[in-house]
Amino acid sequence: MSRSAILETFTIQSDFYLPLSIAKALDLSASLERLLAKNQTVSSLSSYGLHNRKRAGLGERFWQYRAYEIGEDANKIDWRRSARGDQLYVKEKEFESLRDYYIWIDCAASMKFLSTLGQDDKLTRSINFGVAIADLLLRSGDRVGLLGSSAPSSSRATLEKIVHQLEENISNNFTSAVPLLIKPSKRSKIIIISDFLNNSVNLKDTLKYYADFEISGLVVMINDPCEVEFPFSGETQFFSIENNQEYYAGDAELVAEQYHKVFEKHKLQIKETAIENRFQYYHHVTNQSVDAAGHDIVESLSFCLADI
Amino acid sequence: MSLYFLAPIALSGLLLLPIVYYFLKILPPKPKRIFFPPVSLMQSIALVEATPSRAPWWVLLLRLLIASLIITAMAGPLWRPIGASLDKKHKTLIILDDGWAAANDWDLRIKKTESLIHELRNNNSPVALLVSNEPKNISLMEHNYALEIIRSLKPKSYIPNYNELTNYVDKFTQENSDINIIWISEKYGHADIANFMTFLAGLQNKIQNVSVFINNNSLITLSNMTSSQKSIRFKVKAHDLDKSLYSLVANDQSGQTIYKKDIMIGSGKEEWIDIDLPLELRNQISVIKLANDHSASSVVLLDDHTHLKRVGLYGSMKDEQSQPLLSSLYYIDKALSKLASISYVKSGDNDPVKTLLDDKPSILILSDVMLSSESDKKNIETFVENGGILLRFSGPLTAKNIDDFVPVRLRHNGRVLGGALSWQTPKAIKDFDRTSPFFQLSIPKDVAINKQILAEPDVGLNFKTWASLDDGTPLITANKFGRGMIILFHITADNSWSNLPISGLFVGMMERIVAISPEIFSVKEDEAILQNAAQNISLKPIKLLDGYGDFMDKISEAVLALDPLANVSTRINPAGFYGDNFFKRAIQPIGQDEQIEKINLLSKNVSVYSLNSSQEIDLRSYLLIAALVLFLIDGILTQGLKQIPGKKVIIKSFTFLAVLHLFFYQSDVNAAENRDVFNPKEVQSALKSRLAYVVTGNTNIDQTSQFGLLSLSRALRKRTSYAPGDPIGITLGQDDLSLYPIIYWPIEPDASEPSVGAIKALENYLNHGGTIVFDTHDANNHLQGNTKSAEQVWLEKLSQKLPIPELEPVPRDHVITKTFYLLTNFIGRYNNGQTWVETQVYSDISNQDERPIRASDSVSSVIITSNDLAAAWAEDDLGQPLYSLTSGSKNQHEMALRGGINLVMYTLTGNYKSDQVHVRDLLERLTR
Repeated sequence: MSRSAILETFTIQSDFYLPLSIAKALDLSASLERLLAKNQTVSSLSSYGLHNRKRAGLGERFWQYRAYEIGEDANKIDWRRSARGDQLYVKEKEFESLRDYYIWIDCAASMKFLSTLGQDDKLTRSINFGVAIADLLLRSGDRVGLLGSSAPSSSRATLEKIVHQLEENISNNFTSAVPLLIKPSKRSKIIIISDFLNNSVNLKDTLKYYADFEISGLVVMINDPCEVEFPFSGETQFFSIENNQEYYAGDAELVAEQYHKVFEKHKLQIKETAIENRFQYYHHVTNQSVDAAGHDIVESLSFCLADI
Repeated sequence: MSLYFLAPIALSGLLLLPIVYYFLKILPPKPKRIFFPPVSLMQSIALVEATPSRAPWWVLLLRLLIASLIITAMAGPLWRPIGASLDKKHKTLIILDDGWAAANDWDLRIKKTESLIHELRNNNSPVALLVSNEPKNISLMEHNYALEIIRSLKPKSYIPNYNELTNYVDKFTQENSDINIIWISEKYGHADIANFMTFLAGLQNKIQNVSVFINNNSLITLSNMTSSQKSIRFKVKAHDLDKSLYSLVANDQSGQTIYKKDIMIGSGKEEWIDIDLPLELRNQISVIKLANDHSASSVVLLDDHTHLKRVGLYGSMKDEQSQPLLSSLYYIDKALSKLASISYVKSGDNDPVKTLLDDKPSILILSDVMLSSESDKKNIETFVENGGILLRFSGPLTAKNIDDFVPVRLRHNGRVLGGALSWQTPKAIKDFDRTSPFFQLSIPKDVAINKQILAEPDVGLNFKTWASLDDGTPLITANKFGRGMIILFHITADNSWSNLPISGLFVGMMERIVAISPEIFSVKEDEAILQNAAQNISLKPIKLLDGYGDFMDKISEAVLALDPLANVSTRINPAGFYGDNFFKRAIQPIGQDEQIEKINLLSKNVSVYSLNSSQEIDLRSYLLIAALVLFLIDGILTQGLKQIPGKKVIIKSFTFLAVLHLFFYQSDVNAAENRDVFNPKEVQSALKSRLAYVVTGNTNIDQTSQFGLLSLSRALRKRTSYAPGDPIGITLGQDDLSLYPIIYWPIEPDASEPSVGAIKALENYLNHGGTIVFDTHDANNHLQGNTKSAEQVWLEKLSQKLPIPELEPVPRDHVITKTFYLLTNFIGRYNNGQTWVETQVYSDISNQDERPIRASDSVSSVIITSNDLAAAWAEDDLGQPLYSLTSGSKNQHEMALRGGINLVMYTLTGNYKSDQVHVRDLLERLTR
């Protein structure tokens, strides 16, 4: 119900590309769920709290009374229940492992870049992934929030809230560094999606800050195929908007080789930074398939849960 | 020098080339700008080849070449220009010939003259223009004004009077010094054209220069047309023409071709051409011309002189209008109508004989007329003595009162053969003697003479007899009288005494008589008579020729009534027809024995140029095309350069060529398709006859029409031998109407008026035998007492634009009520509306020679009803009416269908059905 509601609100507001990308994201999350249900991935994710509610364990909610077994700690006996009969009962609570997830999507202007080689622009892809992950997590009862914009919550309205917030960020061409939470809880996970081409995203400092709180997560780097391949030739003036930088190439073809080197280096740097700080790293190019990438991302996410 | 620039000043633009070169070199094209987010990464990359790539030297050269080509083209280069060496600094007098000899290459002349004036304007030198056929005092004029005059000129059907021109030019040269004269000459003219040339050559001392532009064209003249008993004959002369094939065409008054023949012209000599046609056809010929020679010189006009003998017809008066078949004049008129032009006496004329003789007929026909007055006798006597033929028919009147104007002595009273009180049977005609003008005419067996006037058996009666009966009594006698002749038919001209007048033999006899009748005017007398006539009547221009040999739409006011002595086409009396409805005279473009001479170009003092365009080549377009091609090459190369010439360039240029090729090919294919596309609707309708209705745009009405006509078609198929296809809706102005014999048009008052094209198509349709049934379907409106419905108003508006004839409510005996069913009225959904058809016209004799075109076969071209026929026709599969009908009776649908069937049958069968009415009577008469 909440899905269709979201879809409707966005169709009405008819933002530039949100409605489509949200719809796609919801599709993606649904297909991911099906996929997860089929594969072993389900067990790996569920054991870390995603599918956690149907058994007794540490938690706050009542789960069941069961007969006391000899040898058990006497403290566990629920005397109020046991007093009603001859048998001793133990009150068990449902196992809960609540975790806060923070998602951050870069909404800078450069994210809207789409070359003829790519299928979608980078922002669309980021939203696809971000919202799909949020949806997936929310449905397994986790608390999800948009880093720097909204506090994590597991309520039904959360997804809607996240989408609203995203929409606002996009329409404001919101550019900022990854926000640093003052007192993040240790159980938090952070998912960062960006092309990391903006100088303001200082990944190294950010990750280090969170690593100090023993927080880990996932770094998704998204690039347009054009940014990877550099298929230019001829006399060209390159420019970018937010950094207000220009680069002139007398013949772009001659620059290509050097560019490849620089770009690879940059990519490697991001990857190393992520790994150093116990973050998972995933690189996506927008001409690749969304579904496959979504699956890979969820898998990476499960890895990042594993290393607690 | 054979290269010449129209605007040499533009060449100074070539001086700009170094500047172009400079800019091309200094200012490279702007680099591409590409939005590329990872620019920040690239800052570390060292600048590679920071200087712009210069265009290579040959690209520069290419571009400079393009620039210089365009500049040169702007200067208007001409290769081997006509008259380029003319001095254009002085005042220039242009003499432009505009006679028929200039018609063949008129456009070329105008173009050349225009370009001359343009050049003079560019050089700021004054110009004077003298149009040869509009001679007047010459003065300098504005260049633009001169251009205007030239553009409005058309070649004339006469040739210039150069003697007159000489005076004007002479005057001009005396008033002005330092002038050039350019004569754009016709090359052919009367003898004075040579004089004019000599005159111009003689001016050399006074003026700067004389140039003559002459086209080396050929000329064909048709002249000296005569009409003899056998044929029309005229002279063809070709000047400067190699043997070539021309098509000779003879047209009648309305422009329809009667005769066509391909002839070879150009053997160098004069040739005589005969047009050998039956007299009836020859008499209709009005113009003879060469179809593929557009000049008045190859046109011959035929007027009344070459056409018909004039016949005066007068008979004892009977009630001719109401019972034409009983009138004695009717048969003579019928027999002569194709052979002669007949003049009648108006009723109430006091002196009919004189009136007729004033028309100067060749033959005077008197049918049973008693010549009583002395003046009549005298007039007739002079007429016959001067060579006229008096043809008389007997009758009860002449039988009693025999006068002197008979070829033989006659007995009083007639002889009756085969009557109730006679033993003798009707007599047949004996075969004609060798001496008779009727020799070899075949005599139908059923011709029988019941009554005749007998001749006294005088000596020599046999020699005067042209035809006699079996028993030897004369039937037709003739005798010379003065220079003329008196012929007597011993019978009446109607069928009361014999059935000869209704036989084909009678026509043959009349033909022979007309043939032997003299041209009553010999040429000399003709002039005298015409001179006399001119004082009383003037021969006004009727139709005049232009220089191309076509008839002009308008007759200029400068044309006067025909000077009776005129025989050559001049400015005052151009070639064409003059006269009135009764008498026409033609002025030929080339008169009798008119001498046409070629100009003599041998004078030294005159420079002669040829007008032929083949020598002059305008290089502008070639240069521009070359520039365009180079521009394309430049584009392809510079695109290719960036990518290092290789596969890509080749592929790209081939794609480009392929696209170009496709483009041209596509347009070819389109053209080809356009040629062969027929509207499938029209194909269908052409293959199968069907009913049609006009699509009004109102869905209800259109549906009703469709259903109605569908039902009617079904009924037609079931009940009649006419099996129409399914009805079709036609859109006015788009569909070809000619495919449908009848069109049903329900009036929709909200519809816009038909376009002009649609009106034209409708007019054409109605004039060529189509029938439109207008249905205002407003009959119940009348019931409510409204005077005029919107439909009626709309129809009235439309009818003002269409040639709708006079209408009347369907008379009870109209053939439309009898074509299939016997009906009293045409009912539809309503049964109170009136149905209107064309008023029947009873043709009268006097209109015959106008040959009115009645393509409609006496079918009313317009039928108007208000009964909403289609709604009443429409039925469902079970034959039940689809719409409620006003009377509600079951009969009404059936009666409506019957009316529809009658309508369709009426349009399809024409007057055949009206003739059928008489079949029974005719059969009865035959068996009797």
